[in-house]
Amino acid sequence: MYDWKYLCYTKHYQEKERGNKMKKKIIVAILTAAMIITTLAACKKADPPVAAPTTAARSGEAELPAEAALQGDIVFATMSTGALGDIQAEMIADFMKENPGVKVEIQVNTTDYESLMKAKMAANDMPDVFMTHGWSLIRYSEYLLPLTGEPWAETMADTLKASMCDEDGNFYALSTTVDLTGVLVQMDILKELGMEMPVTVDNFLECCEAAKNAGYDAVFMAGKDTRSPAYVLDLMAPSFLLNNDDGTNASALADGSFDWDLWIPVVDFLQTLKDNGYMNIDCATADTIFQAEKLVNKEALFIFQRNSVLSQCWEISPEANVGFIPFPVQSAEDSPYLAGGEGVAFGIWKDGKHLDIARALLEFLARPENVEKMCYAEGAPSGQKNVEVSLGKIDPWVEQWSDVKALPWFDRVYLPSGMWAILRDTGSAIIAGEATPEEATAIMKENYLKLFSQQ
Amino acid sequence: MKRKKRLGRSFRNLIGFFIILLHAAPFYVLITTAVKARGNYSSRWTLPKNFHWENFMIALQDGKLLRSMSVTLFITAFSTLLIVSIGAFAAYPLARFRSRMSKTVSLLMLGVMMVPPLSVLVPLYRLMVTIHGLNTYWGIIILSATYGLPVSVFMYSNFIATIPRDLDDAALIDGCSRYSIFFRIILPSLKPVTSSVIIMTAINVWNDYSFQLYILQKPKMRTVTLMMTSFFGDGNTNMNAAAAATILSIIPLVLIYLALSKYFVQGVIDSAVK
Amino acid sequence: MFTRRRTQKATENRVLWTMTSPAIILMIVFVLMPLVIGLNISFTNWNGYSQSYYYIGIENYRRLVTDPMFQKAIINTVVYGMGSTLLQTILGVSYALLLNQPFALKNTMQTVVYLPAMLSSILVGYVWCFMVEYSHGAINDIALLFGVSKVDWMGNGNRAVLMITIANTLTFCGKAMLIYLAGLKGIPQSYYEAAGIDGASGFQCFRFITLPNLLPAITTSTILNLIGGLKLFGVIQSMSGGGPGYASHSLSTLINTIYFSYQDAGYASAIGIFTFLFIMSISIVLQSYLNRKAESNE
Repeated sequence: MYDWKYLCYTKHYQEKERGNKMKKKIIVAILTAAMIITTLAACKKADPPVAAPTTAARSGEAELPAEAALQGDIVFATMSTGALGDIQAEMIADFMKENPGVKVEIQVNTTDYESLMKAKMAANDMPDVFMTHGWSLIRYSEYLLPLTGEPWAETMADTLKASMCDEDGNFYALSTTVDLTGVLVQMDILKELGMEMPVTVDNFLECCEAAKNAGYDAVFMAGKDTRSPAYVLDLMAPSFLLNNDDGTNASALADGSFDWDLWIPVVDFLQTLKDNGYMNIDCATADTIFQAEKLVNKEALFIFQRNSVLSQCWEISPEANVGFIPFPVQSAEDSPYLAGGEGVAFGIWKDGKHLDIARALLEFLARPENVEKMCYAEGAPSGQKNVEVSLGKIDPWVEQWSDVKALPWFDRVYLPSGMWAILRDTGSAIIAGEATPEEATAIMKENYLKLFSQQ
Repeated sequence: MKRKKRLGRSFRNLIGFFIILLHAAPFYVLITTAVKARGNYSSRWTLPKNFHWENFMIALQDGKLLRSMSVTLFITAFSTLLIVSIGAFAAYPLARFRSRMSKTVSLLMLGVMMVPPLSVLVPLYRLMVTIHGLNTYWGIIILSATYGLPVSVFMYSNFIATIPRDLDDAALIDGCSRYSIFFRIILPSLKPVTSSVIIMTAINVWNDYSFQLYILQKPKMRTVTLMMTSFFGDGNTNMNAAAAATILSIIPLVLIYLALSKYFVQGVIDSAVK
Repeated sequence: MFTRRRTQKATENRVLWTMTSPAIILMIVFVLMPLVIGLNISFTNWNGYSQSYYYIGIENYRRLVTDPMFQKAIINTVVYGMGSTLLQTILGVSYALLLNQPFALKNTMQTVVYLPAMLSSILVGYVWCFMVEYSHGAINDIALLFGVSKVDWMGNGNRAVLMITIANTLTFCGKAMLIYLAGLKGIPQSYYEAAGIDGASGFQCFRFITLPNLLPAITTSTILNLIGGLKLFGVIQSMSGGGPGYASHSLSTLINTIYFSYQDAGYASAIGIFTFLFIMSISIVLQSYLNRKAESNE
């Protein structure tokens, strides 16, 4: 048996070997050639060399000693793409021109930025300067250099202080813009329905009802990303808990004695949207990639999302009549509010090798002309006082609401660290119909107590 | 008899046609999305009146496709080289020596296939930081090679087991050392299964996402997969360019597959199914 | 005589170790060590990025027992693994039987069926997103054509799992198909001719000749498909993100979510260790079952 197999085997392969050898040789040759060519191509595409370092100090900051020119390479990590990303790249290029001895490498990541940063934190291997996207105090502060002594610290906008400063008054990032968030609205639909911009929650629900009857999605919920329902809870919480309240809720949350039954109306708001059919049918599974489309295509009336979606809308169709409005409040006497806080912000890794260069970079970014550019690209008010900004398409909206107070995001100030994930969890459970408001509140309470005690 | 054969053939052609439709559907949708303009929301099954090839241009430019392809090609080629050589080398004793030791080692190899990448991600990342392997070619090549070894060892050891032992024993009696047996007798006959191993592992390395994401952070070193997924990320809502990018990214693999597919089937015959 | 066998064994062992050492060293450094560290983390309450954490014993493992997300993920993982493997085996064998006979569209079919396997799994998930999307999805467009109302395919937990399994099957059945095709080609034609002479029907040929001779191919393909299905990550992550709620998580995507979104690295590591042992035990059981069947056939 064995011999027979052996004979067949060797004959079979001896015959095939010659034919195969030839074909194999040709393929190997092609692949090797392809490899060599592409490797050469990759090498040739090296960046143009940085201008030769000069001995004369041209750093432009009065703080640094005049003789020391900045030398070194640093890494700058950001989440921004599109217009904002381009502006940042431009500014970095200008910074490098001013400091010929410095080379800044820009690393951009969007969806995976946070996971990447977490892995890097675990290995204590952070970029020298990186974007903190609102989490400078709560998540990244362990690794950030306190920036309270910086020259631009005094001109930091007051609205930022609540969400960026710890108990000792230290803050850890330069926020060039103040993040402004309201409810995104498709104005054409609103006009068509003959409704006014809603002020109270009742107004808001009336608009939703009218939209639903006219066949639109009143509130578009991109539930596949669990941040979407969490935004509704987080952004509407002040309306129910903080607005017509004399501070009892705020202090109760601060010392852990909060009565969680008061949270049920917040979750109920989301539940109402679902029960009355105001949300799109695929609220639990729609992808955020389609949000801008819905507004431009006049399929949805409201979206609870950041203003970056507006920029995307205008990218698709510059004529789109979209904007944002303050959040609906309980009664006409309550003051409307927007959510504000840390916007386009950057921090410095405290164990970095070139702290001087990093601080110089932040000072450069904090210059009024650069802050202005950043605000224009992002479409948000300035994070530094005394900077005049004109914001392009979103300007009329920001102008309109310039007197509306900007409250910090609820979970960043009033909830212990880690509750954001619970908001996402309970929010998505509500829109998927997997939990009742009471159950969701119970989960919030349980985790709140646990995380509060761990603080 | 002939009529029966022809009937059989047309029947098979018919079934084959429907199967092709079913499996090509996702790609068709991809193509229609890629050639539509950005604001075009017509059904995904209909082709637009004008083909918007600029989506492909956007994909090429923004995705810096050519560079990422060369980076990925480089990494894939060397990883595959390592996987093939180390794998064959390790598979020989595992196929020949049936001791408890070799069985444990085989089990170890199989076990590596089952480790969910995320469980080891952060300790692995810390390790790479310590040995300064981040943002280096050798770092990602060694990692891809390590996690691609099990499949290679698996297929090679199955294949070597079918090469009759008598050959080895004859050579041993003639006074050959085990090493020369490997290099002179076994290695030349590994050609058919090598092409299947190459196809399987090259595709896995090319499409790997987690390792490349965390190890290759420098923009110059981004691979094709990273470039493609950035089109689907938060910052970009241009689905049409994303679809165009996806189509472009699959072309090199298709070419390699078409070139090697005959050998692939032969190799699988010899290694996996005897 | 005795000494010669002993020295022969000794040389054999030495060769064994030397030749496998590069592979073993790589495994130990880059797989085993991180796995052990992962085991260590599973006994802590680390949040994944802080430099400080403290040990909490087997608290994480105790959580596993009562966690509904974890329980759903195990069930889903088994469905993804077994379901995909079953479907891929059926489809793979059927396609291979078809491809074993000549007809015009043969080569096209082979390439098109294998094509999706060459896409990165995350991209596959996004492509399927285009298909199952509610308002403009491709499948719903066809449904509308037939007068059926639109369905939110991913909206219901069970339906989402079904869609993901289907997507996974259709994408990777090409691999199974090729392995089975190779297996079929390896069966000598003489067997069928002999059976034909004896008057066996087509079905009997299939059951007594094809199937037993295909057993090694079935083993290989099933093990590879099963491990792939149990570890399934990319397709789920991009098609449903684990939703709606947490209904379509597999163990792998659950680890990802808990590690990064819930910032609970300790618990995520515990799930990871469990996943590893779970996949390993299933594969070992399956492999020994198939090996026993193969032996009993000879």
